[in-house]
Amino acid sequence: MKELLSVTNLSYLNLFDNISFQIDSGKFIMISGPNNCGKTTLIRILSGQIPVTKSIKLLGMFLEEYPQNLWKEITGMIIPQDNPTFFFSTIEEELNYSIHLFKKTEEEKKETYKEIIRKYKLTKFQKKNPNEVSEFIKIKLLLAEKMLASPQILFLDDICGELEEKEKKEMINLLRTLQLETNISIVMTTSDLNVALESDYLYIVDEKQILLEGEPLSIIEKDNVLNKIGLELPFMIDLSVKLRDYNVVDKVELDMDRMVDTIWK
Amino acid sequence: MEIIFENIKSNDWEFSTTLTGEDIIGVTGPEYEELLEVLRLEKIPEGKIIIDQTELIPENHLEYYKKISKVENKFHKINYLNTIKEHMDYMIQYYHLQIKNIEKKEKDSLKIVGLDSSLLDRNITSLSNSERKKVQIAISLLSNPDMIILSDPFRGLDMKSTKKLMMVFNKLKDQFQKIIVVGTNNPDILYQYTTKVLFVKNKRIFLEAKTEEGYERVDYLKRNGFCLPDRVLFTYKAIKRKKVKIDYHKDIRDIIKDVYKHV
Repeated sequence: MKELLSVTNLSYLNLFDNISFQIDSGKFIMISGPNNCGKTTLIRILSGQIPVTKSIKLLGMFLEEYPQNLWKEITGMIIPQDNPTFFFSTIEEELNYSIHLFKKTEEEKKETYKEIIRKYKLTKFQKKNPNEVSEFIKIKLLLAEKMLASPQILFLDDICGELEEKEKKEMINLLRTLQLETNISIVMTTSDLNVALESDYLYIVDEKQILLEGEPLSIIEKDNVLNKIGLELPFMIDLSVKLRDYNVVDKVELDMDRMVDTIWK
Repeated sequence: MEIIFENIKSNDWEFSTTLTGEDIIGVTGPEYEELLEVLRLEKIPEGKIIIDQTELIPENHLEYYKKISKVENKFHKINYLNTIKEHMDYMIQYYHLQIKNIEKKEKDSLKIVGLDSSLLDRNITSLSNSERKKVQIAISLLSNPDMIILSDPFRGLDMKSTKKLMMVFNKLKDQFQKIIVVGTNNPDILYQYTTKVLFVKNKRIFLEAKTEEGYERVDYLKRNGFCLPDRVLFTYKAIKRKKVKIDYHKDIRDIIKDVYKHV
């Protein structure tokens, strides 16, 4: 496993105090924490939008040492809060424009377009104005455009925050598929621990520090810490952890039917 | 405060309901946004609407439009609007609101939602997610509305911010007698924080009930495609599959106690 991104002794304003961590390639990393803990700022720093010195290394080199900001070619970033606007009046035109920047032959362009429409489930939206569709469709479109540049790492800031529960699941599945196909690393923030459960590795950030890190299930069990900083445990985990304290169950159970069977054999 | 909607017909919707300031009212279902639009009275529907014993007539429709405020989820994208004050001033002009002391009104609105009045000159881009939501509510308060309609106000908020925002709603309801209507498809939020829910489907109010009573009709809601809160589903499964005599609870600690008593 090669190290893709490393953060060393990062301090920034009153948000972060000397934090360090590494991200290996091909991993789905999530950063969670309460509102206002600096998640968005952290994404802006990691992706180079907010410049810092001697803290962020991408492929072994500090961001500021890349000539002509060439690190941008290896990374992609989506921050929905910045209200990205699209230039074209239909999703079809918008996508075709982006495709033409990366693909040469007509055949390739057509093939790529078809594949994107299928993979991102955009069939019904091809003729719609990308600035007027739902947040979910906008994010999928942005994602498709970013992926055309074949980045090695994607920075996604709370892209599930404005989505409905069903859409969140579909988004996670889509990201997992993209990752399997391209071995891309994904660094994503979320304040929803249900979403965070889907990561390979989870960081909980608050009070200028990384409070917890590790496999998501082992992190999310720490109900005292998480509740204290204002995060809500997914119901099944909260139930498991509390019932375990009463010795009614002995492990975390995510499946409701199995949980009922375990309690009342 | 009370608004009676009687035999309303608008955009294929047909319904009657009475909304009062005694409840935090939830609206849920695939088309809940449409119902919120009808309630907003942007268009005057067929039927009878009585707001605090006065019947709404087409001639004074615009007056009532100010009394029902829909909280926007995004700020207006206009180049010269940067600070909260500028956004507030814009709304005052847009709705021709008659306000004697504008600055005081603006500061008071911020205070009601629990924000410091010094925020008035802050640029909206510098606000955090939860501050934005509160500012949007403060803006909607400028017209002194009787009813405040919100579409999924808790999206993207963590538990602490959700609870704080809920306290703002309760304050608006209890101290200022506002009717609060919250549309969302998040059953956990509805179950924990509302007192009454309108379940909507096929352009009708399918079921109108006190929140707990409504959600305890698990089979009925499931059959009709409504999502259920996890805590209700768990209790339902225990009762149905294991014949355990536990009760439905909003607070997980009460569920745990009940489970412990029955193992």
